[in-house]
Amino acid sequence: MTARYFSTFQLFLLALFAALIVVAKIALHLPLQLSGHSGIFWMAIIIIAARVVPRRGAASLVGLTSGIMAAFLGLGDLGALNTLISYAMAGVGADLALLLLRDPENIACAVLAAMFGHLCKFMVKWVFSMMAGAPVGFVALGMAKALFGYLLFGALGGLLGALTLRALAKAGFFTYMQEKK
Amino acid sequence: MSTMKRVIIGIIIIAGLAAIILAVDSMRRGGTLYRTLRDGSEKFSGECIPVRHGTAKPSLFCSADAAPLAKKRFVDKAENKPQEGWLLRDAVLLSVRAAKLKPGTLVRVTSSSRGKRVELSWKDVSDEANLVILAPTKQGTLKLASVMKGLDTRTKWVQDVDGIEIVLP
Repeated sequence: MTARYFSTFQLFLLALFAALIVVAKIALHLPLQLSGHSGIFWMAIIIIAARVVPRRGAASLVGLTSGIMAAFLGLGDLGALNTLISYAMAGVGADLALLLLRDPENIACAVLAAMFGHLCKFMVKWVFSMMAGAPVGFVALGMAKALFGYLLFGALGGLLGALTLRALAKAGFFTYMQEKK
Repeated sequence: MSTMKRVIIGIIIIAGLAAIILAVDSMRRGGTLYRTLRDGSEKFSGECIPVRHGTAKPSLFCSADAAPLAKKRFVDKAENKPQEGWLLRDAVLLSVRAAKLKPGTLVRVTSSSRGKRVELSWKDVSDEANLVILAPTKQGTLKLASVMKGLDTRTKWVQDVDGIEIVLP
């Protein structure tokens, strides 16, 4: 019998991370009038997921699952398809970046991976707004400002994720996870 | 490959993508980059503009009609850029007799591509001090610009004008 790519335990963890992203999006609101500010939460969660389940595609799976949940809950401003693809691309982007950067516990690597993931989400929204011809909030604010916001909050999310991973490592979480594998 | 090299490559990729997004957006929306790169003089070479004034068939305001008209200019206070063009008043008078135009007559200038519309009274249009002009652009179209209060900023101006309508009282 061939070994499965993700164990059932890992899939449970990834599904929980995906649910956490959706809950964070709904429940946590920062009083900032800047586009992309929620990235501080979900990019942190995606970075943590990529390390807790150290398999390629873990972040993508979290992104895709959270995208499906968010689409069903009616989140997002450009419809379900946009929500699904943009959430999924945040995970895919982070995964792609981690192919190059490798170590999400390294602060610089985590920051860049989260920035890239969040940038991918931004690009999806941008392309959809061009195709639909409808001005999205961030376009009305000014493209450069919106892009800067997405990169900044992606970076902060990556930093938060890396710091959380360090704290988890210090607490012996990853040793515990090795046993649970 | 060392982590430092990977990080540098990552930064270059992200900066490159961000630059591409901003450049494409600027080119699409006729932003600063577009205006810098695009060559050519500001000349009215685009399609004639229909001037509707209650008749079945609209008159047309074309580059040939504009040629004999006197040009007026002012300096755009936001960008300190000279704006030069023909008075909207003169363009309207090519289609409608002056006697028919009363102070309460409305002049609507529209741009379907930009989704913009401005409605002005004939009193404001005919006042030369307001400098309500149709200025040619590098794209060959006309834009409605003015120094009149309420119409003195770029956001209020009507770019790519494609229709003028005279609403007689």
